[in-house]
Order: sequence, then structure tokens, then C-alpha cells
Amino acid sequence: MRTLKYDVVVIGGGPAGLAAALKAREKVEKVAVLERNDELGGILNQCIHSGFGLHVFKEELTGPEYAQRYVDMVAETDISCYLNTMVLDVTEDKHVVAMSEDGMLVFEASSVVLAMGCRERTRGQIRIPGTRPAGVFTAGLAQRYVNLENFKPGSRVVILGSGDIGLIMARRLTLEGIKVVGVYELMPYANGLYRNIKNCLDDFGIPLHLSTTVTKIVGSKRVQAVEVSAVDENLKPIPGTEEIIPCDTVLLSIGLIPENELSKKAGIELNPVTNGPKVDNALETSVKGIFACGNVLHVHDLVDQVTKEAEDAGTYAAEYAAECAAAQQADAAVSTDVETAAEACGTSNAETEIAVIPEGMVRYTVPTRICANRTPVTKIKFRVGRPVETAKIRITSGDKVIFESKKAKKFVPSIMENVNLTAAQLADVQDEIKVTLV
Amino acid sequence: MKEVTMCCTTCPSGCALKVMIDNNEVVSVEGNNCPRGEKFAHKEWINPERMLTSTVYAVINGKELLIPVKSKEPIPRKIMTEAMKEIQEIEVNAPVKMGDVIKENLAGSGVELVACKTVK
Amino acid sequence: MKYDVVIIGGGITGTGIAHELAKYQLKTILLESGTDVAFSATKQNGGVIHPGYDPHPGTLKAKLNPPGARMYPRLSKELGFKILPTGTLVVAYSDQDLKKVDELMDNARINGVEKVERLDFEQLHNREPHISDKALGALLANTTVMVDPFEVAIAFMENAMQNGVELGLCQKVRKIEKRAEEDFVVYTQDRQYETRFIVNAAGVHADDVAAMAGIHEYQVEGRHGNLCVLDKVLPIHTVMFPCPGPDTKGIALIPTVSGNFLIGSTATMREDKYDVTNDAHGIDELIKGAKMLLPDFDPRCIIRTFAGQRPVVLNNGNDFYIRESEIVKGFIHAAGIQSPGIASSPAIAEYVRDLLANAGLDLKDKSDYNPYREPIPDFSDLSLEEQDALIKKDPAWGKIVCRCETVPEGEIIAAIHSTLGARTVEGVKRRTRAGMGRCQSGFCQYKVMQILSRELGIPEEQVLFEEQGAQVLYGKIKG
Repeated sequence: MRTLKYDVVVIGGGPAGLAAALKAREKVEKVAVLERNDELGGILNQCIHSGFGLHVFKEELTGPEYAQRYVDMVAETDISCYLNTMVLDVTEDKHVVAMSEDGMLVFEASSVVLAMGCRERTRGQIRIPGTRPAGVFTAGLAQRYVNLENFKPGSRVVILGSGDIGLIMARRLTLEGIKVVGVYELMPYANGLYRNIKNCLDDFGIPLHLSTTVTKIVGSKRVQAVEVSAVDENLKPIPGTEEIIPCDTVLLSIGLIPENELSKKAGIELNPVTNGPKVDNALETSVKGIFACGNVLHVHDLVDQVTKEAEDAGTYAAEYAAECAAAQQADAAVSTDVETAAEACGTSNAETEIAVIPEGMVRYTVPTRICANRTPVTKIKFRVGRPVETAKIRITSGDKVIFESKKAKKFVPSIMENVNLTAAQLADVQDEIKVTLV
Repeated sequence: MKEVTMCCTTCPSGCALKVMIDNNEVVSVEGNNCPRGEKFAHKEWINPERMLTSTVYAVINGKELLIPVKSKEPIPRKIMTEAMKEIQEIEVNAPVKMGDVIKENLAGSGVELVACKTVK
Repeated sequence: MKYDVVIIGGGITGTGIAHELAKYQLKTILLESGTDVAFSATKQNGGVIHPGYDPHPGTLKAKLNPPGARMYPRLSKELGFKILPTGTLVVAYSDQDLKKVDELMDNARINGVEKVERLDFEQLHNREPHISDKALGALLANTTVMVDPFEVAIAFMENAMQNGVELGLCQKVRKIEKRAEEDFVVYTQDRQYETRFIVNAAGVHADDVAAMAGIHEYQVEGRHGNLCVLDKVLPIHTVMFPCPGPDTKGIALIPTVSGNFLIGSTATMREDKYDVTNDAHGIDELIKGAKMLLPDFDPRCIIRTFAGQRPVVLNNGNDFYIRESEIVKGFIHAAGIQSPGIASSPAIAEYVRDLLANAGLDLKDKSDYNPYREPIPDFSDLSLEEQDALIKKDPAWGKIVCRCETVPEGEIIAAIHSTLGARTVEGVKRRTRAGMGRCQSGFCQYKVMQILSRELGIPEEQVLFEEQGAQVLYGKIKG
């Protein structure tokens, strides 16, 4: 069993991990990226459609191009990339245990960045009744088969869920000669971007059925059909509206969940709304020296947002590692106790913490707490729970309004909102701020 | 004069455009947050164009794989099927770099098909 | 080439009998219609080894359940399948329930079940602090263990095969001909098997199989049950049942050997005994049942729902139906093996062996019989040092396939090349747990497909999901 020492260890070699590693390397010497797959770039490699990079690169790229740019940037540095390396455990003292074809590896890190991404919700989670035949795929698995593995997942497809992956797969399958019968969405509104509905469905005459869901999967060996039903305002199927749609394949595009099994092992406190870690404004989790970014923290709409968030996480993780090194050096004369050195790390201080509380239509916020003065700007991200026709964002501290957006606008759950607060705006805040819509 | 609503698909913002048409020509565009919206409306009315992304079959160093490709510029929507037929026929046998031209003049559009990934 | 015994059906009953008969100098074959053993009721089961406090004294269930259950710890060691000692609680919510607990205590005593005790409110809540406040007391059966029923069936069959028993997969029996005393011919779609004796362990199909031999003694129907698999998050350690109803044991919360939990199961007779469709109503009932035991139960931890059919012989007092046919000598029924079938199966196997002996089958011990079976290593269960050593021997053990359950490629290759190797995506899942976790194979299925294709030497588009004729993929996109 090999032991390796790094300043910053980044878990995950997708867009979040690569951006975090690049930023961290600007501040510390030894940075490692641990990637479970056989190539860097993560899920972007299978997202061959365009629409990435408008914010970061000011041009529209495909997923593989966006990934390639970061892969190329990382290749220019001395960041160590471990491929086919699966992290099995992260401890509170930042020992990262991984398996690889070279044996079991233990990475001893000063700080760790969690960038494991997310996974798709499955049939079991929404409990679709029926049989269990071949031909039920999550949209992402089907995307993998079509775009990387060179296989058709079926010949006649029903898609449940109007998330962007489902919409994009509808177009992709159609272009490759596979019949897409229709897209069914439980909610009364589409979950994906409007441009995807237009370019992926309307362009190809694929119908989108709102307020409709799959109520049964039929077929003993292979899917033979699905039963779909209209749902009422409580999202419950309406008896008598059942319709049988013959198909041999069902794709599920029913949402993403941050993948936090490692975070749980490390004892990190999670936010039950996002399923991601609770973090402060420096993206540090409840375990000192462990940072989180990208879809493992909360599911993003655009990879550009992931990159920006990951750059912050990489920067703060490297600062933490550098402080650890400095504290260790200072302590070395007196004591070699690493624990003491680690104690001195970070700037988190319970006394100066401000809680960030979502109120009303605001479903969650990232961060959930702010350590004043830890970051030059405090970036608050949030989503609404359901569409709001017109409203303004308001952030209050007690009776005092510390931020209010100038223009009222429309809010939808599929779009993440951002507010940047300056140190001045937070100067007089005591215990908590509340984020709400008015 | 008639009014047509469109969703601009140039970027993910998806601006809702109010487009005035007179004599089958676009005379004014409203609702766009950037100049690209106006350009989009004109094209969308006359000859809608879309980016085409797909994959091409490759055997590189004895390994079968797919290489992601895209039309370097948007191509007319009406030639999509023809373009896909051409893409279906392509086989790449040498290492490629992101940006390499895989096929020139895709389906007679004058647009190049380029590789989106480096495969050594 | 005549067989001594043809066993029809590769569920827990058939494989258990195969494992038992492997000890003797016999030519035995097991015929299974599916692509794998444990293909029907066995894989749809919760895996509780009930110790036997439940069956009504005097029934065949009461006779076979306690000794069967007692054999499991030894079999687990010999055959290398996992067991998890949990104990069972039968929880009382009313005075009437408490009376039922007393009845079960009496049953347990009469059936010879040891280590059964009655817990009062405080003892119950100390043992399981998250249980409902409405739970007044419980019966605690200390000897209950958990197994993965398909792991047991695979272990039974592999050991039988290693000791000379043959296995015919995808062999659906179409016709049975009796030519003379101890002279049957069993026909499948493409083969025929001459045999002296037949054991019918065909589960819900048992009456159909019997009818092929001209036996119309009984009718089998299915008692349908929904089940849910939960993520590894429940704060309980003991199998928890409510007090039983007339036909079933009620909706239970069940810890499993793999660390997941189950809610199981509903019980309704269905017209179509082959129908394993699960239904929204049944799942709601399960969630309600779980909340009754654990008020804090959060249905978001459900990762899979499924259903099964328990084979029930009608007008048989809800009992097993195990006997030699009175009409056709040499034809042994092992039918109606509903709950507690898994727990009883080792005893059922011995009972069937004795029925065969009484019917005239000579049982001579096999001198080279090996009771031990080496399981494939479970990577996720090993220490870091053991994992490291395994990878050093073969790097395939360091290559992750299923991230949710930590299954490396080496483990999947081993499962494909074991005595009763995996042939399908679901077969790999049952042997290694690849695809059984919270992502339900979303991340690893394509890797499992690649490995199956390579190791079986077939194109990926021919790899089966589970059933014959049901491939996962529909051919290539390009090239």
C-alpha cells in the first residue's frame, strides 16, 4: 500500500475538479486529481451537444471541447492526475484512500476538494410500477451508449422527464434514426431550457406532454409499452386517463442528485434540500480543510457556473493548505504536532459566523453560512421552489434590507440565481441574513 | 404586417423575441438582450440554421471508438438529414486533434465538420 | 445416459435438493427454464431465515422450518454464503396483539424453537430506540439470520455441480412421458432426458409440470407481494414484523446481509400467477407499514421496488405440498413452497431425499463428496491489506466497475468464470452486487456489458439483460 503526500487532493476529474486543481496549483506546489474513469473530463465527454462555455470562454463549445480545453490546460502543469483511481474513503484528518490498478493508495492531503459530481435519479426513486424488463435506462446511461459506446439503446423510445438531458437525448436519438415517441413531464411546465424544447423537440416534431407521467411499465422480457396517465394539481395520476404507448425503451430524465457518499463517510454535514454539503462562503464544509464544488455541492444548470465555483474552491483549499504549511513550519521549532498545526489552519471562527436562511419561495442557498471577511465577495446562489411570475430578490438582516435587486423578473426552478454581497453590505450583520423574493 | 413570437436559441438565455413581419420580411425585433437576437430572428424567419453535433466512427491504433464532431458553423435545418447521412459514412483512421477538419463542405453547406476531441 | 433424478426448477427448493443429492452416488440433473437459478420466487424474496415460531404446530411447515433454519449457520460456513444474525421482533400494538405474541411463544415452544423471549415496552425500546411509541411489546426470536436467497441458491447449485450434479439452463419442460416403472422421459424445447425419478420443484409452475405427467392432484396459485429495497440508512438492527394476519406475516422492515434494508411484503392473490407487476397501491401500503414501525421513515431512501409471487397450493391449509404422487409413482412433488420456504429449504431437501429413498432410490454415499465451496472474494468486504494483495496479484481487482457497491472488474470476471457463472447483466448483479446500489447501474451497466461481451466471446449487442431473447442493446450506431 502506497502513501502519497499532497498539498491539495481533488476528488473527481470532471469540469469542477480540473478547474479547482488549476486554481489550487497557482498557490501551492503539490496538487493531485483523482479520477475514477479512464479519462479526464467527466460527464462532459458524453455531452457532445453544444451550449457550453459562453461565460467562461465567450464562445459556444460542445461538451468534449470544453473538457478538452481543461484537459489541455492541466497537461501544461505538473498537477498529478491519477486515472482509474476510485476513492473509497476520506477521513476527517484528510487521508484519502483509493483503489487503483497499482494497488491501494493513501493520499495524505493538507486540504481536499470534493468534486465527485452527481448521479441520476432512478426508476426506484420515483417508484414507477410495473414489471422489470430490459430497456429502461437513465437518460445519461443511454447518452453514454449512443455517444461513447456506439450502441443503440432501442428502436422506439419514450422519454420521461423534460430535463435538459432528456430533451437533448430526444434530438440525439432522432438524428441517429431512433424513433422518439414523446416526452412526458409530470409537472405542468417543462424542466429544461426553452431553447432545448425548441431545438430538440419542436424542430423534430416530438410531442411534449405536460402534467403526464408514466404509471406502469409493461413487458416481461423487454419493454413492450408504457402506460401514461394525466396527473392532477397534486401530481397524482387521474384514474381513467390511462393510455398505453407501445415502445421498446424508456429513458428517464427525472433529476440529478449530488453524489455525497464520501462526504458522509468523512462526517460532513449535508443540506437535506440540496443533498450536498453545507458550506461557508469559502466553500468549506463542516469538516475543516474539506471543500466542495460543482454538482457534488448542488446541481448546476451550466458547466460555466461549475467552473467558476470550482475555481473559488480550489483557491480557498490551496490557501488553507498554505496556511497549514506555514503553521507547521512556525510550530516546528516548538512542536512537531501536526494536530496543533491543523488547529491553527483556516479562518473559520464560530463567533463571526452568519447563517444564511432561505425564506418563502427561495428553496435553498449556497452557502448556508458566511464567515465574515473570509472572501472579498460573498457569492450567494439559490433556486426557487416553483415558478414565480415576477419578483425581486431581497436579502435582509433583522429589519434592515442589505440587498434588493433593481428590476423585478421571472424566476423558475431550473435557473440558479446569483447575488454577490460585498464586505460593506455584510459589515453590520449580526447572526443571520434571510434571502427571499418580494 | 404581422407579429410573430420566437425564442432566440443563440445562447441558453432563450430571449423571447417579438418579431414584426411585413411582406414576408422581418422589419423589427424586440425582446433580445443582445445583438445576436436580431440576427437570429432574420435567419429563423427565412432559413433556420442549427449547429449539428454528432459522432464519427474511428479506428485509431486498432481501437474502435467514436469521435465527437460538430459543424463549425450552424447549417440550414433543412439539410440536417443529408448531413447525418454523410456523417454516417465517415471513418477516421489517424489520430485527430480538437479542431481538425473531418469533412469539408458538409452536405453542400460550405461548412466544415470538425473534431471536438483530441484522440492520440 | 439415464438419470437417476431429474429436478425440475432451480429455485431455492430445487437447488437445495440438488445440493443434498450431490452427496450420493447418483446421476442427477436440474432443469431450469430461466437463464439462471433463483429466477423466480427465490429472487423475489426478502431472505429472512425465520426460526419457526410462526407455523401452526402439526403442519409440514412446522416440521421443516425449525430444522431448516438451524442448518443455515453451518451451511453458510460450508458453502461460503453470507449470513447476518439479526433476530426477529414481532411487534404488538394492542392487547390483542400481545395475546398473539403469547400464542406465538407457545407455537415456538411446541415447534422446538429456542431463544424466543417476550420483550416489554422498555426492553423493546432499548433494543430498537427508533421504533414507534405505540409499540407496546414484542416477541423476540434471537436466532433469526438473514441471507441473500439467490446467493444461497447459487451456492447450493455450485456445490452440487462441483460434486457432479448437472445443470440445464434455459430448459423449459414441455412434456413428460412415463414409459414404465422408474422410466420417465422429460422433454424440453430442444432436448430429452430419461430418468428414474422426477422431483417437481417448479414453484408457481408446479401444477403445470405435474399435469404434463398426468397428475391433477392440486392447483397452484400465486400470492403476489410488493417489496421495496432501501438505501443503507435505516437506524434498525432487527427484522421487525407486526403481528401476523391469517395468510401472511405482515409488512416488515428487514436489514439485509449487504447493509441495505427491505420493506416486505404485501400479500394479495392475483388471477395471473405469473404476474410480477408491482403496483402503486401496494407500494403505498409498504410505506404505510414501514411508517407504522418507524414513524420517522422517509420514503426517499427507496432505491428499487419489485414484486414476486409466492406459490400457494390451493385447499392445502396454506401448507407446503411435499409427497410422492399417489397416481404416478416416482414423481415427487415439492410444491407450494411459500414462506418460510427459504428457511425450510435445507430440511425440505432432506425430506425429499427420504421420499426418494422410500420410493426405491438407493442412496450410497459419495466417497469424494466435498461439502465446501469457495465463494468469489467480496472486494468491498476485505481489509485494505487484503484488497491491496488481491490487486497486486491481478490488477483487474483494482479497476472499479460499480462505484456504489465497490465492485471491481476482477470480481465480475470471477463471477462470470465461476462454476455456475453469470451469463447476463442481472446475473452479474446477483453475484457481485454491481448495479444493485443507489444509482441502479446508471454508471456501471456499460462496463458490465463490455466485460460480459469480452469474457463470453459474444458481441455486446447480444448480451442479455436477464431473460432469453431480451438483449440490452439494439445494435451499433456507426461503423
